[in-house]
Amino acid sequence: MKTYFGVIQGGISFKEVETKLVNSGIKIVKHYPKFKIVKFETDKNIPEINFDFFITVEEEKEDFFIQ
Amino acid sequence: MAKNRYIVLLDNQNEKSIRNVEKGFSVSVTSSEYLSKDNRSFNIIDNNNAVLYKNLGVVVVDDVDEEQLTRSVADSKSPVVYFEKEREFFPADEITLINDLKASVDQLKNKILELENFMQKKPIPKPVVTDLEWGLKAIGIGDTQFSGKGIDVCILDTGFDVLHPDFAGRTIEGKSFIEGEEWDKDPNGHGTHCAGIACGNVRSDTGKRYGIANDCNLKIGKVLANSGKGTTSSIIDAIDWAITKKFRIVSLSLASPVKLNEKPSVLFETVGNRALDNNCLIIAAAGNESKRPELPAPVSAPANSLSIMAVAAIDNQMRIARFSNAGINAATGGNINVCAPGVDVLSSYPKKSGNSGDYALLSGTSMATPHVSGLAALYMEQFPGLNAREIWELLESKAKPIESLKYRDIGKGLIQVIR
Repeated sequence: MKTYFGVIQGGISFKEVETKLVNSGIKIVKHYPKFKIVKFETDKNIPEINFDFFITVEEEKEDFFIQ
Repeated sequence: MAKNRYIVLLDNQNEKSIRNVEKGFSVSVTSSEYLSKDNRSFNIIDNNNAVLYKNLGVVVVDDVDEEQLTRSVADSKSPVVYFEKEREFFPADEITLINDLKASVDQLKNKILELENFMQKKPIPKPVVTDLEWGLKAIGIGDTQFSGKGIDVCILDTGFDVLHPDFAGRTIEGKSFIEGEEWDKDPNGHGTHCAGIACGNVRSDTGKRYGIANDCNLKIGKVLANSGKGTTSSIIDAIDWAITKKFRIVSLSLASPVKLNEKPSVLFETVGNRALDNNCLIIAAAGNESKRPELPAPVSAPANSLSIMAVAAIDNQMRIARFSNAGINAATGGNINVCAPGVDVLSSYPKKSGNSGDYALLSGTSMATPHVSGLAALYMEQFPGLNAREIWELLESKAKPIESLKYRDIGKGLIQVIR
């Protein structure tokens, strides 16, 4: 299972996004209302999913290090 | 045998009073108007007589009973209201006076000598000037009286050693975003070092100052594990917490390297913009992947986002640090905004194996970043009406270009206090 972050398009509510993700069998982990960002988990191949309600979908990175 | 002579003051000089005196004290009173060179006062007085000095209202008489005089003063019917024994006056002896004066002068001379010796041996008080670490001198901390008072500065890092002696008595709020690890401990040490630069004060052992916003409200978010590693989730969660708590500054001494021409993360671009909309300024390390002078690396994420301020590092000779990343992804974004001291920077550090003291010298864009965060807090105190975007503009506009260093490497230049 991979974790992703989707930035919601302007004019689209979280409710709509939630419905679409759940209908696609994707698990919502957290909603950040201030950022209009949704964190979700899925094993699916992201490029094959129609995420037109997101500006972008980025996979969680685990390589942030002290500098 | 010497006789006692008295000056007796009468309340009036009528005949009855004079007779009263003559009778009471068995003397004959002669008025002073009858005195002459043949009839001197002492001759009269010596013969058991008294002399009345009408102009003064006094009688001079000798060898009378003093107790009787005392009783007469107490007796309201007696004309005697006051008496005192005649005093002897001697002419001043000039030689004695001169000798006395000389002795006084000698005493004064000795006192002056004593005082001079004391002044010469007294240690000269040290001027009350706090010595500063080189980074603080470079940004002009000695020229400002601002301390970040009332400004919430949030350090997102490996945690913080709350037992560090320089922070004793300081109220520190924190939260951990790393499962199973606490924010108020810092086995790594990196977070304590960064927090010390931005929000520390002076060394408890030498008194030398290494911290910038020494009176700000320190907030700690543990987003990097004790190993020094973190994830997008921990960072986003912590920034969300910071904005919810209305913290004004978020300091990120962390980075994820990017490839040449890699586009900045839209996710972090969004987060940075939302933070600015909420009056919160995010400041991040440009990254340490460069191997200068041959191979400068591009600004890392999240500092490469346009809405997050990117900080490069310089050394104390005003040279770009060999590891400091550069704005070489010009086509896709990711410029350096400003630079700050980031080589051999001393700050607070936890006591642990390999580090017996409370301080350590570290180098990195991680060390440059909290210099900017601390200074931003000073600006926010100095200009309370300015929002986060305006503070960003001010940090850039007041930064000092460094001769021979490129915009690509240091952006607008070395941050400076505003006098």
